[in-house]
Amino acid sequence: MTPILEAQGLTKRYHDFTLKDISVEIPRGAVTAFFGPTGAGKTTLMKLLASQIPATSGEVRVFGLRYEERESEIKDRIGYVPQEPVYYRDRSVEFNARFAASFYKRWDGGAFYKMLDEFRISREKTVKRLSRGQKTLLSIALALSHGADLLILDEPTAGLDVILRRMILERLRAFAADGERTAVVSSHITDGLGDIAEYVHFLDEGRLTFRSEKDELQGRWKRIHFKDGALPPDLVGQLSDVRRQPFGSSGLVQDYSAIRERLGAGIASGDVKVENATLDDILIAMHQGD
Amino acid sequence: MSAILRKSSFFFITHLCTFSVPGLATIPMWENPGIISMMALWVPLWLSSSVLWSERQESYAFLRTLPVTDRQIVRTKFGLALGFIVLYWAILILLIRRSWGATPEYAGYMALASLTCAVSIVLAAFWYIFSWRFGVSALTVVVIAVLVIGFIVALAVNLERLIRTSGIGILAPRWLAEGPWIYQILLFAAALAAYFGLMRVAVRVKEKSEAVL
Repeated sequence: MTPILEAQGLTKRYHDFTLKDISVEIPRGAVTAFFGPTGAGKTTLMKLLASQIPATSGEVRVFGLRYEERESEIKDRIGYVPQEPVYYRDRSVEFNARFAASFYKRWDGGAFYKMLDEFRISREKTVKRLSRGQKTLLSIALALSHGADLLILDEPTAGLDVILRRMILERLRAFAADGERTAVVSSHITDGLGDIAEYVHFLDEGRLTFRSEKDELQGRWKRIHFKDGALPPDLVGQLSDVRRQPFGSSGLVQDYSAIRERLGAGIASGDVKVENATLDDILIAMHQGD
Repeated sequence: MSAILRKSSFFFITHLCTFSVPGLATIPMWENPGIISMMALWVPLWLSSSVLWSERQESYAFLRTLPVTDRQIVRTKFGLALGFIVLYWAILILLIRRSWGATPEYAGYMALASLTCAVSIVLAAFWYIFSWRFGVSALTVVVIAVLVIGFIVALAVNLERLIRTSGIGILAPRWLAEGPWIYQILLFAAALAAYFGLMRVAVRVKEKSEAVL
């Protein structure tokens, strides 16, 4: 299937940071997540994918089109939610919405104002009086109100309470559920987003260190819980993030299939238990270079 | 593009009123239509302050998220400034014609208005490029300095002439009126050529720079 978004050799150089040679293909009809620690380059990458800043080198194609040739057409079909949304801060929410609406071909004012009500944002309020979370919600409402086929969201749940965070994640899940529309989301925490993402990427220090289907990733990475003495020492040595627990220890294994047979007896006796590693576990292990 | 036009026009119109109304209001007081020449001298100041305040209120980071290209934004902004300068030039010429009739003074003041408008339009282009390359904070410092110096110079020149000639606004140099008429057209053509050349530069600067994002 043709990817909805692809980047080749994308590089962005700043005086103190470089996003290096990123090549990705984002499949259509799914939620794709970019995780990584603070300062990994997620925001820079999201900005490049949404053509918010010029790249030092490399190319981005969205819907098979290049920004350099068809920027208006592409942006009419994408919704971008920046980490720190910016508007005309001295003007009202309504003014900003009408301003944005004048640029879109498929603006749905009814859907927009319905979402504003849901998010409890007054349309008369000036933008400078909105909290950071409300600005993000306004940005999400704008992104979802013009018939976008692709959403690019940079830390959309940061600064939101748990109820709103769940609401936003549910909207993203529903958005991509038709198999045609796509959401690309970056976050430094996997909480919630890890559940709805089908594809995950890890960024660290400006490099794309890993990409995988989430199910495949969680099939390989497992957390092994074991009683003392239940595993041979060489096997324990292969585990990362080993922690002492009240009834034994646990550790992460990156390639479960390679050790599965050796765990058979322990699992049968109940001295060893295996569970899916969380994305947080995997992210931390990768960040630490284990 | 109409949304950008409407939003930016507000500053050009309000600043136009600010700079021209006092001049128009004082014509009867002085009983001297030469005051109009002062209005011509205000053109670069009016245009500079309009560009500055419209840029200060602009949100390019927001515009970037919308389906509009830098090229379209630059063309809209440059078109707006050009439109207003042509409008202001036309108003000036009309006022000068009404005040002086077909006299040598008319020719001199018309040339003065054309000259200041031509310089102003190139100056406006320069301010836009400066803003997009170095950011609106840097533009603010530079334009405010230019405005203050401009005001002082304009007032000093007029005051000096007021004392020397007991009149105000007798500013049109004789050589402006005495030159062949074709040079005014050439002047305007050169200003427009420079303006459109700078517009192309502005597109490149806007596309490459992150100073206003």
